[in-house]
Amino acid sequence: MVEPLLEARGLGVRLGMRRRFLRKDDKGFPILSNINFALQPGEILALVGESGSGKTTLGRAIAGLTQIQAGSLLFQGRPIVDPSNIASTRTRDRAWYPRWRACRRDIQMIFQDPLSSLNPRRSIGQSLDVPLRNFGAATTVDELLDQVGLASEFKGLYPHRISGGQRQRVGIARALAGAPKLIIADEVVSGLDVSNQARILRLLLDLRDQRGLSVLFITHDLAVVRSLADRVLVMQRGKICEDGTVRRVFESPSHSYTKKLLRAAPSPEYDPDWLADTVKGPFAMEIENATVFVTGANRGIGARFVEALLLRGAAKVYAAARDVAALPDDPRVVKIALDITDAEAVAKAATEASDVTLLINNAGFNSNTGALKNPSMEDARREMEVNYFGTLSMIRAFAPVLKANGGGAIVNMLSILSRVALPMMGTLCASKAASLSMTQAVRAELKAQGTKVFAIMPGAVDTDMSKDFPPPKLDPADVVRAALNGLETGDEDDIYPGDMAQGLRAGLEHDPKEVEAELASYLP
Amino acid sequence: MSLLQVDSLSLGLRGTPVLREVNLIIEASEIAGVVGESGAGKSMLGKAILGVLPRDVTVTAGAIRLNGTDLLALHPRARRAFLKRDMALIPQDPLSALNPCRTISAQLAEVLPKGTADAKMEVIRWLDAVRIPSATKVAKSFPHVLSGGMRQRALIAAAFASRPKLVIADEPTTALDVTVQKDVLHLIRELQRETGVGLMFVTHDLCVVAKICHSVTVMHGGRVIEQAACTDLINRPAHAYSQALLAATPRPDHAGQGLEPVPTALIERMIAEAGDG
Repeated sequence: MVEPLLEARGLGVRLGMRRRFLRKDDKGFPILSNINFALQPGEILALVGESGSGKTTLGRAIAGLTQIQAGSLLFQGRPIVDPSNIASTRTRDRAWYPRWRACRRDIQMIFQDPLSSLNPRRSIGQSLDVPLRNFGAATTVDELLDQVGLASEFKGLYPHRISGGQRQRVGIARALAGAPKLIIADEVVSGLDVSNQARILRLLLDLRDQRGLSVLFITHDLAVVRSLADRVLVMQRGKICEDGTVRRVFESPSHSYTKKLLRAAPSPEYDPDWLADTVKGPFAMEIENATVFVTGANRGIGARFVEALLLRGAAKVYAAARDVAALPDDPRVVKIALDITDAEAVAKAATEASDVTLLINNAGFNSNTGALKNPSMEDARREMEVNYFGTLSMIRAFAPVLKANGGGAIVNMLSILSRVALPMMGTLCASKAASLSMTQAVRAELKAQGTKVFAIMPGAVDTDMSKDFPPPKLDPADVVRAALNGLETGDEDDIYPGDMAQGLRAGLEHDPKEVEAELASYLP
Repeated sequence: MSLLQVDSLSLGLRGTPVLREVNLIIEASEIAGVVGESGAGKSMLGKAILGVLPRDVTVTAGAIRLNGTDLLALHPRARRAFLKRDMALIPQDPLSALNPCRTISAQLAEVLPKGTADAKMEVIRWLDAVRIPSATKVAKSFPHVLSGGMRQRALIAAAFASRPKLVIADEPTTALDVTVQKDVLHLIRELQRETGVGLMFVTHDLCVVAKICHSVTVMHGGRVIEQAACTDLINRPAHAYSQALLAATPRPDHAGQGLEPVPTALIERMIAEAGDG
């Protein structure tokens, strides 16, 4: 077995995310965790994934442009970064830095947009001369241009004068100046037309064949990967979800995300039905023509649920609330006065609504106090009574109904606080955590009868239940949209509406303790 | 009568031909693809139809008829009114097409047909229609906080919200991820079917053309090389250039394709045959 050129073991990167899980204010989540892969000499390894999956961040981390925070990176068997010197990479430790620089010469990066990575005030010749002098290379600018198939007349031209394909060749020529062993090519062919794309791909293949150059090819274009690469890594949300030879991954993908990506990659074959073929996830649930039972339907998220269900073509909506006065008048809406903590009333509702196919457990109670701050235990009991016992008794009553109607689905309105406590609503969090645990248990128990069980875990929502929490808060209609879209696409049975929930979810996957510490600081 | 009829349109840039005798017909309820490599003149054709040509580029010959009205014969003001009422553009770069200082809601409300009651609700309805997940929040947001896919969806909503007769989509999915691309393409086709507009789809990606277009025009060097129904062009390309273009397109279901550019010899022969370099 040949020694790998580059090896990553448990690599982790996080960008300026300290204590910012709750208030995520930017798109994309450049967190990488536990990245393991090996790149053999002379191999073209493709790194694919969607925007925000972390593929560029990984490329930059390997090129030394982004701080690595965990794990180790080995180049030709020698560690460039390992747990013992991670601290010194931060401080540019003197003993360590020269070694890093020596490796940098062997690892070069080509960027997506050569117009912005080339200095507009320098001619091509000058731009190429700088790295040659820095590396003390014996190569001349003419030889470099020749290697990428450009005539030496290009030396005198400025970047804006030449075409996109030619600029990208200059980028490659510049990367070749130090005679590297590994080139990291970040989206180098996106934005080029097919002929220029083919020329660049051919050039990379020739460089590999003639000089044994390895390439880490970062792209979102699966068709290009198929033609160019030997092996492929598929990234999703900062993790590598599939690693294999191109042939294996393209012909028999094992991860569901890879399958989804491959289904979305068009081939040049006439097929007008291809677009309509939106493959549903394993948890898909049809809203159209469903008969739905919604609790807590008179205000907040519940009221929005009723509106949206009618809009999306539900056949009938049982709108249940303690106070039915505010429920909408509509021929498809059946108003039901119901207190979900009253077991008898719940059982009666289940016999009345015997045609239900979708149960939405939305009713909830929030005392908005800390666990010790509230002088009485009553609120804490009521939260458990409504959020946990109420939901459980609804599920117990309706499970046989759903079974009789062919399985259907249960949707439990939880909160991201089911997964981590916000101390200013301590007792609510406890009741929501209990409900999440129960949701998971019920999900397993009802699997046999074909009932899908969803957990909806939004961040702060703008309703009168969470009026104490500072904005920005999600609009209840947006929570409902996310929930119903999630049901219809069916990719996951845990749905996290909104940026705050998404941010906390990523944070919890990455470092639960840090998220706990962040939320603790919200105690007023 | 066709929705759009471009009759031997020629454009020139200070005497240099940009488009040469381009003919194109788009029917209502049709998606007509226009493909070609960089510099083929495909975007310029779209700009000529919209009447937004760069200052130096002028129409040297030909006519553009929308529902029988010759747009080039109209007074500029009348033409602008036409453009506003009957045509819409889905641009390639969604960020530069949106005003960074105004909310999505304000920008969409602007294009709604005159006399729309409750513009705010209508905007949210359109954002919902293009499947933007948090429509209420997005309506109040500024463009920079949205992802590329979201911005592109907002612009698709804007294009269709004005209830046009002809939509010109200029590489609308080039900047998007594959899964988002598929959603956006599906969305464009669904909206196009529902509203019955004619759609001109400008792209360099034959894979996308094969999935969405009814007819295709292949362009090179400002000329129309081949015009055919989509199924014919993809399965039996007649012109050598179309064949070469198809062979240069990488495909996810076959290894080894897309590594050969369109041969230079073929391009030189085409230029020689056309006789004017």
